[in-house]
Amino acid sequence: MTEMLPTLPDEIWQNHIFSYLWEDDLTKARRVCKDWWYLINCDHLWKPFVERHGIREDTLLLEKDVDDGQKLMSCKWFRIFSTYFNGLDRSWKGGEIIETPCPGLVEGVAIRMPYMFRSYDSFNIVEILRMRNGNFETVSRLRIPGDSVVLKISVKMLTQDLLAVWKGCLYFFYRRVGDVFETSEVFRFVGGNTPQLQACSDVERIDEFANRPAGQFFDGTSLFYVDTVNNKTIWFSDLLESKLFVCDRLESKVIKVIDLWQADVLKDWTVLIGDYVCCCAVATDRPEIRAYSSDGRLLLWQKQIDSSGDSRFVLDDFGCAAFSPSLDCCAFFFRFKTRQEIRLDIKSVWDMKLDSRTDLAYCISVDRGASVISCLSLSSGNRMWSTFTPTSLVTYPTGIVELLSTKHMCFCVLTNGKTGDHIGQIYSASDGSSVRSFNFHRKDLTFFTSSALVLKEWVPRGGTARQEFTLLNFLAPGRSETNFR
Amino acid sequence: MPNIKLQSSDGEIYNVDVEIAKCSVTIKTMLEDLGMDEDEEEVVPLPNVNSAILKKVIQWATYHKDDPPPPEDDENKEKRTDDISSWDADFLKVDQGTLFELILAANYLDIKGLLDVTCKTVANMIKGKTPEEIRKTFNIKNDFSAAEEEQVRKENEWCEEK
Repeated sequence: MTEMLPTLPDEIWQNHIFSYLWEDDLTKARRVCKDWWYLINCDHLWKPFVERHGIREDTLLLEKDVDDGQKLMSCKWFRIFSTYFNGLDRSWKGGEIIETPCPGLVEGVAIRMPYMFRSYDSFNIVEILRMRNGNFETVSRLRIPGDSVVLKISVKMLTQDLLAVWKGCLYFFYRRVGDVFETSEVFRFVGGNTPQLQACSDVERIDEFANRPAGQFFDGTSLFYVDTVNNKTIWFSDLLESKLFVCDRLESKVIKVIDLWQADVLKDWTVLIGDYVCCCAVATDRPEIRAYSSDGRLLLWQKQIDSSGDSRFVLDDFGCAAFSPSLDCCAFFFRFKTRQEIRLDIKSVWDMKLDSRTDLAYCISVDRGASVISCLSLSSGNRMWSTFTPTSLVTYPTGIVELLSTKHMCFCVLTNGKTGDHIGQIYSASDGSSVRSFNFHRKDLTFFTSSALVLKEWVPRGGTARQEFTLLNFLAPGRSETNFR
Repeated sequence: MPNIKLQSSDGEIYNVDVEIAKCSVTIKTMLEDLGMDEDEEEVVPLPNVNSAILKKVIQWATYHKDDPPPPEDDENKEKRTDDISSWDADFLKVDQGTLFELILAANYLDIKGLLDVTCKTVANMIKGKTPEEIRKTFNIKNDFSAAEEEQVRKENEWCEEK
């Protein structure tokens, strides 16, 4: 026999019971039954969380909620809340990281949740770890052919199911089946007059090429470097001929050769490639930045910038920005899709990080001799906020600054010009207030995802230095820091 | 100490110190509105509270008679639910039916302190549980259609365990 429970009035549930719940319990309670769903679907329960997390409605793309008479219509503040959190990689739950014995020095870490990849160049190993219940567990290790020589192993997770590992002239692609990564394709790049990408199917041949850098394949006139790999294409650059080669990964052939500079003397240039679009900076007597689509077509943007030769540029999947640390030099943003150029309200920029999904850019610039962190809107070019870095942190003119950002955090590494100490600072993306700061001993590398940051540093330990990794999880306050070796 | 008589819905009469009875805003207002003299031996009928619950309420009010008045709720209400005193926790070791009756009585009698502590206790019964565990605890039937369930699950994706 079930006991008949007295029913509590809705007002009691809503204002007295549910109001004691934090967002995760409230989110679960929403799933209990329809009555509770309706009771919890009220703005005054969700608004405090939106405010507590500093979520800005104007940085979100809220989908239109169409009432078809069947769907449950969520209240506005819950939609802001859920859009924000569903857009983030919440699988970082913090907790202890299981220490996996390192068979050597970790050279690189790549993260694509729930996976983390570590490469041990000296052992030719790429280790794959998976996050389970807050811990990273090793699920497999990939042995890359060849000896451990000077060639660096690069790792990139291209899609949820495709892992690329490249080393010298060889490119390995692994397909994920469950938690197992199986070799799917191996290519090698062959240069010369007719550069091409060749499928490398038999193991013997792979070993033969395994220790050769890409450049050694050529007739002595060119030196090739792989610049990036994305889902569809592999890009190479020829340093001596100043050419870019775009290879179709699936067709294994060069689909486009881009002659970067035909007439002028080439001083220096850099190539940055995002997942879909490529951008190229050429710093010669006529410093210029060009944007290409990932299949090698020149987009409409060729930007002539600061003539001092210090020009820099950054890009993400949606656009690229050009800037220069020179005094009074302006910054510009170019949106690939609409081919619009926006002038950004900032000068003397040292570094910039784009976050086009939230329509924001973060900059470190110099203003009256001090370093300033600013957040700018990419659609209007206006400044959202600016904040001076602590005066003791003289980043200028050493300029050793790294700037990273997420939807809600802006992270930067500042270097004290006098002592050489490094200090990490996290600023709130909503108003630029300092969230926290911490010291580095000798910062070496940083790796980053939208919700977490991995710092690699050398920590002095009794006369020697030990390599340490720190995982900073921005989404789980209080459980945000985990050290692993 | 002047007393008043409180009468439960089932006719039981309890003799209570006026000051203790006045922790109920409802009773306090009633006494003021009716202009009852404190020395008069009036009977206050409480038709919404049965004798078992009224006895518990009086027990709670007697223990807490010297408490400072609870703070007013503001916009950003303190969400702590781990601050229930051990006496209250013991006092509220009752079955769910009684707990809900106490909430209803505290709400009707307008005793903020009792309402807060009982509601916190219910909130604690929800915290850290999965939707299915919550349903079991409160004997609730899942009445979402398959499509609605899928919609809600999707909106909740961020906090689901992998």
